[in-house]
Order: sequence, then structure tokens, then C-alpha cells
Amino acid sequence: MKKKNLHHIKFSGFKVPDHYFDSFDELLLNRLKESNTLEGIQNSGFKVPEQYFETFDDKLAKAMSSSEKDVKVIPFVTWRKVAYVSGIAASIVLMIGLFSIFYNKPTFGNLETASIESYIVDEDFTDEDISSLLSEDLTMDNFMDSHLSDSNLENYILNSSSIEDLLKE
Amino acid sequence: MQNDIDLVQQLKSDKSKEVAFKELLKLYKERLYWHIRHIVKSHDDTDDVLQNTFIKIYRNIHAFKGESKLFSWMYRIATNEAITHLNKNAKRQNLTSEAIQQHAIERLRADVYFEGDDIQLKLQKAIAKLPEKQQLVFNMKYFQNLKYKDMSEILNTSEGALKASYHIATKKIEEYLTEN
Repeated sequence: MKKKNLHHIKFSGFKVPDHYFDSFDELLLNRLKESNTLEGIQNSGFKVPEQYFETFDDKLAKAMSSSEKDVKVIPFVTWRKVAYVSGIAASIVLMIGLFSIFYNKPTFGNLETASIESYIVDEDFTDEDISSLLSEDLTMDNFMDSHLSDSNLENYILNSSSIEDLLKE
Repeated sequence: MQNDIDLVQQLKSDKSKEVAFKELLKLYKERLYWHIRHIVKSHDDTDDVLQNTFIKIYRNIHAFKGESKLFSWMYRIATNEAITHLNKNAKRQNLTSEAIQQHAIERLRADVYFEGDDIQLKLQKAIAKLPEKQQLVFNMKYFQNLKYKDMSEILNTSEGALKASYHIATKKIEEYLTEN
């Protein structure tokens, strides 16, 4: 390049985007506001009293020795009282049992579930026998009536000890 | 780790228990303090819970089987003691655990052992809105920077679930900070 041409090069070639300096302030303030997001909060704010950790061991030793002193337990329940109360309780139970035998008639509601189950298992019921007892057609709603909210579903997944197994399913 | 095994052996031996226990205090009291503090918020409550934690460790070290790291076992005790403390306070005052936490956070403004400003208080309020487990996960990851592997042992939850929990907690907190 000839020396005399240098005098004509006044422009560096660099350019600035339109309105860059006009909007710079707003850009900077927005970045400062980011300190109000989680990234900007590094310190929890919690403080500890001076010398706390240095004196903790002694404090703990005192607390442990005072908690180990046994307090004398004075029993307020004696065997005589226990026998007395047990006798009264047994009499009451016997009276209730006798009362229920004489005055309660057996009903369907009194039957134990195990008795009902063994009756169903042992008897020779067919599908037609059972379907004849149904008064209306069954739909999916008869079997799926629960509506899980999003938060309950979320909590179930997060509290699951093995989420990977759920994902595999 | 071999250091853990040696320390546990010394803690289980009557001859060396006292010396080993002092070593344990030196190694872990600060870490456990901060873990508890982030749950119960006030220094005085933390002090109580920390002492209860170490008393429990001292009395039950014979039952430690070494199936997890000693550190995880201690953290678990500290977590349970802190949550029990919150629940006891809640029951005594006939409030929910969340309400107790919110009250504790309100008291932080006047607490001499809290030097945070409005944004730290807002963060504490946001954390208190999370479900209990998410709070634990968030505090342990964000403030204490525990590894997911260690958190998994402490909380008996898979690493995948913990990562998901932390991600969701972060999103909820950011939403709260933006909206408030």
C-alpha cells in the first residue's frame, strides 16, 4: 500500500448495531435483575453465633450427662389393681357375649367375609348365573372411577423409590 | 471407606469411644448443623436438634451395620430429628408443618442470626411452599451441593427421582420468585 493512501483511511471498518447505545442501559439493568432469580442467590443468609462450633462439644457433653441420669420411676399400677380391674373387665365381656347370643339373630351382614368367600368358591356358579344378577350393562366407568390430580400424580412419581422401573413399564 | 470403617470400630469399642466421638464431632458437626438449619430455620432450634442428633448417634452407633456410609446414616438421623422437631412444634401449636415453617421464616426478619435481605427471605418462602421431600432435595443440592449418589442413600430414593425432584423444585421456585 502506498504511503500516501494511508491518509485517506479514516474509517476503521468497525460498525455498531443500530440503536445499540440507546438500548444498552436497559440491557444492563435486565442482567442485574437476574440476581433476583435462583442463579443470583448464592448465600442463604443464615448466620451462626461466634464461637458456636468451638463450644458445641462441651455443651453436648453436659446435655448427654444430664439426659443419662435416671429418674426414679414410681409405679402407680400394682399387681393387685391389675387383677381387680381385669376381673371387672372379664365380667363385663362375659355379660355382653351372653347378651349378644340370646338377642342377636344371624343376618347376612353378620356373616364373616371368609364364610361368604368359601361359599362362592365351593358352589358351582356359571358366568350366566352371575350376569343374570346384574340389572344394567357394565361400562369402563364402573371399573375406573378415580381421577388423579396432577399434583397427586407428581408426588406419587417423585416419592417412588425407583422411578426407572416406572419408566420401563 | 477405610477411614469410616476404622472410626466406626473405634466408636463401637468402649475403650476408644470417647476419643472417636470427639473426632466424629470435629468431622461432621458443621455439615450436620447446616443441613438441620436449612430445615428448621432458626439457630436455637438447630442447636437443639443438632444435640439430639449427636446423642442419638452416640447411643445407637452399636446398631450401625455399615450397609450405608456413616455420613449417610448420620444425615438420615439429622433429617428425621429435624422433621420430628417441626412436626412436634406444629402439633403443639395446632398448626400444619407448612404454617410453622412460614412463621419461622417471618421471624427471620428480626433474627440476629439471619443476615439475608428480601431476596433470601423470598427464597426461603418459596422453598417452604414445596412438598417436604422436594424441600430436602433442593436444600441438599442447592445449598450443600451434595452428590445425587449420597442423597440417594440418605433419602432412600433413586437418583433419577431426585434429579426430577430437584428440577421441578427449581422451576417452582423460579416461578415464585418471578411472580412475587
